[in-house]
Amino acid sequence: MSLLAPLYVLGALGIGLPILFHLIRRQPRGRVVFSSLMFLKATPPTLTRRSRLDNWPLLLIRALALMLLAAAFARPFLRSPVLENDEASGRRIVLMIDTSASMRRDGLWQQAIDEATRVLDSLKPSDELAIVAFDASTRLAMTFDESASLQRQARRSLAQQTIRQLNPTWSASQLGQSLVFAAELLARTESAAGTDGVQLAEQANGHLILISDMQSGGDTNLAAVQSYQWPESIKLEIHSLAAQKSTNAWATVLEQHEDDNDLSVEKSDMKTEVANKTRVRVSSAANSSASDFTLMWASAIGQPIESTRTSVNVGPGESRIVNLTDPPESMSDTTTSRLMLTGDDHDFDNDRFVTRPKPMPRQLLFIGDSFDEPRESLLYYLQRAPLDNRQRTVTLQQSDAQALVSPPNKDLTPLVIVASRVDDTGAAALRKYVQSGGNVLWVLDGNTDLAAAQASLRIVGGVADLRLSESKVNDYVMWSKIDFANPLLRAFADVKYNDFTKIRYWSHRNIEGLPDSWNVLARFDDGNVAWTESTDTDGHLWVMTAGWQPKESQLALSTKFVPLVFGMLGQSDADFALQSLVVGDGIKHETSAGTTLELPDATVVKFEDKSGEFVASTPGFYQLVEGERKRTFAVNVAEFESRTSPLPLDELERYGVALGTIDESPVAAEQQRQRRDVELESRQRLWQWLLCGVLLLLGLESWLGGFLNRRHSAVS
Amino acid sequence: MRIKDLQLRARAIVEGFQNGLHRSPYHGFSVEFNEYRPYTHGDDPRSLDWKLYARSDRYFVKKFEDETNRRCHLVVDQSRSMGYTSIDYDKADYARTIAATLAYFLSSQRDGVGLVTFDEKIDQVISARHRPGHLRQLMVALSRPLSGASTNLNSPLEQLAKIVSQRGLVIVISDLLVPIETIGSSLSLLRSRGHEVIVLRTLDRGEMSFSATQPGMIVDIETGRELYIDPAIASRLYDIGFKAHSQQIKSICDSLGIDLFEIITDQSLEKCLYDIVTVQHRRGRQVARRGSAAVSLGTAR
Repeated sequence: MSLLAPLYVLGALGIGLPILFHLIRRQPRGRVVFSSLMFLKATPPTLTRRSRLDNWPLLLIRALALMLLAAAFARPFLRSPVLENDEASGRRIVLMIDTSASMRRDGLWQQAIDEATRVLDSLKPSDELAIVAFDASTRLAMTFDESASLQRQARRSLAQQTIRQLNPTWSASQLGQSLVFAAELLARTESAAGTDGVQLAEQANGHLILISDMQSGGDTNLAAVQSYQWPESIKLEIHSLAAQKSTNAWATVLEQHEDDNDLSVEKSDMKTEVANKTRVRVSSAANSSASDFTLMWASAIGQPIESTRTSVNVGPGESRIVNLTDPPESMSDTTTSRLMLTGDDHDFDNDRFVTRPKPMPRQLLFIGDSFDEPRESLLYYLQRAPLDNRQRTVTLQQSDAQALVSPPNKDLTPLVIVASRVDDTGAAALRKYVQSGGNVLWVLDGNTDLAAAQASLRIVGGVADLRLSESKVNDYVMWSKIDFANPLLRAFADVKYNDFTKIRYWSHRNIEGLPDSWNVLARFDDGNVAWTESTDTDGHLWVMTAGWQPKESQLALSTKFVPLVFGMLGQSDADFALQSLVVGDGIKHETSAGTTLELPDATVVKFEDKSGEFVASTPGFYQLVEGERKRTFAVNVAEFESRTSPLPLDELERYGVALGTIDESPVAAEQQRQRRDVELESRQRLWQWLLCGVLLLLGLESWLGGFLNRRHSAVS
Repeated sequence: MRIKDLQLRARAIVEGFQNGLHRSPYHGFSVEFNEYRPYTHGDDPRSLDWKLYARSDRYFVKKFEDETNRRCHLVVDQSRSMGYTSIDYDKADYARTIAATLAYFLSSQRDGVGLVTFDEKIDQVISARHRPGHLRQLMVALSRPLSGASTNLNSPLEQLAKIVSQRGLVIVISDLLVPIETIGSSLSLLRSRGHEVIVLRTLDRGEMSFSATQPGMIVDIETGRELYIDPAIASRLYDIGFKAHSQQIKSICDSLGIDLFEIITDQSLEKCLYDIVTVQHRRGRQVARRGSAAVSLGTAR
C-alpha cells in the first residue's frame, strides 16, 4: 500500500487535537482589563466534569471517519510487481542518423556507427525504437511498429542490421526538416497512445537521439524548425561527432554575370579580358586550421592539368573569388571539366564538375533590303549588336525573300527578322517555321509595302482580317502600356531600366484586326499597337509597327535595343543554359524510345516508360541522350554541405528545440515513478471505497447519536 | 459627564450645587458672625459696631470668623488605574470633574487654588493663586490624558510638602489602590507640615467587588501583567482583600485627622460635593473655635 499524497495523512491528526484540548484545559475565553491585581491571586486550572469524555463509541466512530477521510485524501494505491513491469513500457525513442555527404569525412561514419551501437546498448528492454536516416531527404529506416513486434534481442539485431545498411550519401543535410519529421513521428505515436486515457501520463516520454557531425551548413534549413511548434515533452539529445582534422575548403564555379552579356555593352573590352577565365569562389570552413589551398583544372576523368595550378590563400571562415584561367581546349574534354581543390583535410567536396558547353553556331536570318545610308538601314544596327555569348556564336545572314522556299531549321536559326515583302511560298515556309517553334520578328518600317506585308502577315500569323495602314504622327510618339510581365520585357521591369521615354518614334504603322489571342507587348502613346506577339503557335511571331533605324525612331541607338534582340534570340536557348545541379536534384527526361542516361560510373539507364525525373545521387557528369540530342549535366555536392564547422547547440534551442538527455537523472526517474504512481492510483481508485466507508460511518454515527440522545432524554 | 468642556461642566455643577444650597436647611448662615466683645484699647476702631453703640451706648467690637484667602492644593492621581471603568466614563474623568468643580468653587470665592497631578512621579505643578486666567490654566492641565504607568503616592506628596511652605488645604483625589504603608507615610508627612488634608477616594463600582463570571486572563491596566483568574475562587479573596485595604485607609485617616470620602463614580457629583461641604461645614464650626484653617469649604457660599 502506498500513498500518492502522504501529507494528507497528517489530516488524521485532526482527531487527536479536540481530545487533547479538551483534556488539558479550557482555554480562557478572553482577556479582561482590570484596574489593579493587588487583591487577586492566580488560580490554577482545574479539571471539570465537562472535560471528561462521555461517549467513547461516538468519539471512536467520528475519529475513524476522520481517519478514513484523511486516508482518502492521501489517495492510496497498491503496488504490484505485475503492474511495475507493465508500467515500465516507457520510452519511445527515435534515433536519427545523419547520412549526409559531410559524414564521409575521415572516420566520422565509423564514429556514427559506434555511437549508434552504444545507444542501442543503453536502451531498456521496454523501450520502443525507430530509426530515421536523413540527408536531403528523410527516411524511416525502422519503424516503431517493427520495433514493437519483436523481442528485445531480435529488435536489437534488427536495429544493428538497419544501421549497418546505412551509408553516407552525397546529399546535403536538411537537419531542420528531419527534426520536424522525427518530432512529428513521436508526436503521432503519442497522440495515438493518447486516445487511451490511461496512457496519457506516459506521453511525455518521447526522446530524439541525433547522431550527426552537426555541421553548420545545415543551419540554413533550421527555419523549418522555427515554423514548427516543438512539443515540450520531446527532448532532443545530440551525440555530436567531430572529425580529427578540421580544415575544409571548397570551390564554387560562379556563373558569368548575365549583366555582362546583356546590359552593358560598354564593358565589352573588359569582357574579352576575362573571356577565357572562370570566376571561382573559394571558401574555407570557420574551424579550418590551414589557409593555403590549390586549385587546378582536371579532365572529366580526373587527370589534372598542371598548367592551371593556382594557389589561393583563404582564411578560416572567409571566402575569396579568383579568376581562374580556363583549361586549354585541346586537353580538356570538349564540354566537361573538373575543378580540383587540394590542401584541406577532407576531399568529399574537393571536386567540382563543370560543364563548359562550346559556343554553338547560330544564325540570325534577316530578310530585307540593305541600304547604304545607315540611318535608313535596319540591318546596319543588327550587324553591330553583340549577340554572342558563352553558349552561342551568332552569325547574321541577309537573305532575299525569294530565297525562302522552305522553313529554316529552328535549332540552327532561332530568329528570323523580316522587313520586306515575302511571297506566298516564303510566307507559308515562315508559317511552318513558327509552328515548329521558330521565332519571327516582322518589322513594319517606313520602307515596307503595306499591302504586300498585310497579305504575308495574314498567312504567317494565320489571321484572315489583319489590316495594316500608315499612321499619322504629330511630332513624335513614345511607347506606353509596356507589358513588363512578358519574358522579353521582364528584364526591364526594374525601375532602373523601365524608362522608355528616351525612345521617340517619328512614324509608325497601324495594325488592326488582331484576335484576342495576340498579346500587345507595347503600345504607342496615341493608342496604336507598337509591338505585338502571336501566341497561337509553339514559336513566336512578333510584329513591330515601326523600325529601329534613326530615321524612324531612337530604338536602335538606345540601350534597350541589344537586350531586346538578345531576348528574342534566347527564346529557344534553354538547352544552352549551364546545367549545374546538386545531388538530390532531378534530371527531367522526356518519353521517347531510346532515351538513355549515362551515370558518372558509366552505367547506362534506359528510360522505356514515361517521362519523369531521375534523381542524381552521386556527383559527376550525367549524359542524357534523347534521340540525337545529347545533354550533359554536372552534378555537384551542395555547397552548404561543405560548411563543416560545428553548429552551436544553443542555436537549436534558439529555434525552440528542447534539448535534454535520455539518461535518466534521479530527478527524471523520480518524476517517472511519480507519473506511474498517479496512473496506478487513477486505475485503482481506492479513495472512492474509503469515501464510501466514511459515509457509512457517518450514517452509523448519526444513528448512534440519535439513539443515545433518546435514551438520555428518556432516563432524565 | 455629557458636557465636554471641563470648565463649563464645573460651572454647571457649582451653580446647581449653590442653587441646592439655597433650598437647604442651612440657608441664611452666610454671614459668619462669631461674637461681640467689649472694645479695649488697641482694637481697631473700624471694627466697632456703630449700630450697637447707637442702641446701647457702649463700644462693642463685632468679631467675624477668619475669612482670609485660603490656599488650596488639589492633588489629582493621573495614573492608568484611574482609567478603569465599568460604566460610560472612567474614574479619571470623574476625578477631573471633581477637581475642576472644586477649583471653580474655590476660586469663585477668591481662594487661591493650585494643582498637582501625579502618577509614579509628579507630572504637573501649578501653584495656588487667584488671578484671571489661572482657572483656565488649571482646566487645561486637568484635561491632559492619562499617562503614568503606576501609582506612587509617596514621592509626589513628599515633593508637594517641600514645594508648599505655607499651610493650606490639600485635597488628594485618587483611588488609593497602592500598598497601605505608602499611604500612611505620605499622608502623615503632609499633616505634619500643618496642612489640612482631605482625601477623596474615587472608586468604580466594578472595583468594589470582583464581578467577572468567566474564568479568564485578567490584565493589570497599569503594568500589563496577566493572571489567570477563576472568579469562583478569586472574587471571595478579592472582597476580603479590598475591604481590609479600605478599612486600613480609613483607620489611617482617622488617626491623622484626615477627612476621607469614598466617591463612587456612578453617584451624582452634586451629592458627593454636598456631602463633602456638609461634613466640612459641621466640622469647621467645631474646629473654628480652635482656630483651624479647614473652614473655607464649609463656609463658602
